[in-house]
Amino acid sequence: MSVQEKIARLSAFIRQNPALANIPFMTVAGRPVSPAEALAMLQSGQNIHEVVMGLSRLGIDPDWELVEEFYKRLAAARPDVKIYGLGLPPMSPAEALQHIRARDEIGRQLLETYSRMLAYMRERMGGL
Amino acid sequence: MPRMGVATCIRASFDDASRAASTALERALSYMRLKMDVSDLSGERATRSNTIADINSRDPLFVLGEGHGSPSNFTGQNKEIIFQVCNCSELKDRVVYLVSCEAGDQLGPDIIRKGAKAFIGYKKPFLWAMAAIGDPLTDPYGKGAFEPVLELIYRLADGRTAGEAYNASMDKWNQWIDHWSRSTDPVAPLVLQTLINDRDCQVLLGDQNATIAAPAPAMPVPIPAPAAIQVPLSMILGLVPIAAVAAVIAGNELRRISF
Repeated sequence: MSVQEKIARLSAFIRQNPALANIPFMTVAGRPVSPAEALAMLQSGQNIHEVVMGLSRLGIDPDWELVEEFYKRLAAARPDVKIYGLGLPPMSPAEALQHIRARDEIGRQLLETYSRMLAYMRERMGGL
Repeated sequence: MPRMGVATCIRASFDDASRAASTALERALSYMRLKMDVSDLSGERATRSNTIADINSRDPLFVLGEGHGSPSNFTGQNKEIIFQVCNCSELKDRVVYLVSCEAGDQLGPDIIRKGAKAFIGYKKPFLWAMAAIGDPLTDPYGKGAFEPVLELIYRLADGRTAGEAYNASMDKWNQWIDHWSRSTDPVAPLVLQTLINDRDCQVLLGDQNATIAAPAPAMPVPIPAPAAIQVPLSMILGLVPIAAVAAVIAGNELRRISF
């Protein structure tokens, strides 16, 4: 698939799934980037090889940096919302972030949950 | 032999998460009561001794549980263990649905090994997001996590098979996942994570053709609403629940039983 085709597919994905446009989903040049940021890189010709590689491996390797970045952004945007579970303590985004940074059992479960979402994104993208 | 149309429900309600889940399941019980003989062991009554006594005396075909869980056990009030691996033989020949974290991992398979007809549960943590403590079904972020759970129970109570109920529930997860994928709400990615997680971790083990009640047409669910509003409007609108009317006015999705 050419870069132009990848740009077209990524654009369509963002248009159809606005909720997923700004989720950190791969690491490029050492920092977490979202689909919207990856698209901007492809369109401007920056880090093309890394973005293409990242797209092909999306959701395959669980990545602590991505989930950490996600909760950092969520804690800034909506500190009031809470995550509940029938087996986990209720958590604010900031508390979830602490577990992720500690790499503890709850943090690991949050990482797994995040990985499932990345797998869903990969499925929605139809293979990039 | 367990009795068709008879159910035992266990609902823990002692912390924010279990209180919220128990509140959401109250609607499922309201629906089940229209069609089945239901025993509700909620709050302080959600103990192992009460559960065993109820199962022994009423011999229910369906056992529904809500409470905290782990891969090897399901707990009731204040995390008292009710069922655990190697200690769940009382569920033999029954259909079991545990709305709980992780019980689908080891406990569910053991329940089937001990002779249960079917088991439905979750292999990983059952998660949801909420904007505020309360009823998840009235919370914009919590609703999508519990509607699929209720859908499954409604279908079982309608006399559908476990497989059909499970598929109806999965359809509901997918509807909500599609809904939140299109949202621009900043919390949407978190809600999506919980929904995708719960959907992907829901398991059905055992006989997919198992049923818990005789086939019957679907009915509107009696939905609790503030009495001061419900009575006068019910007089005007007949028997249509006020919550259903409110949903239509608000432009929300209206289903036969759940929205």
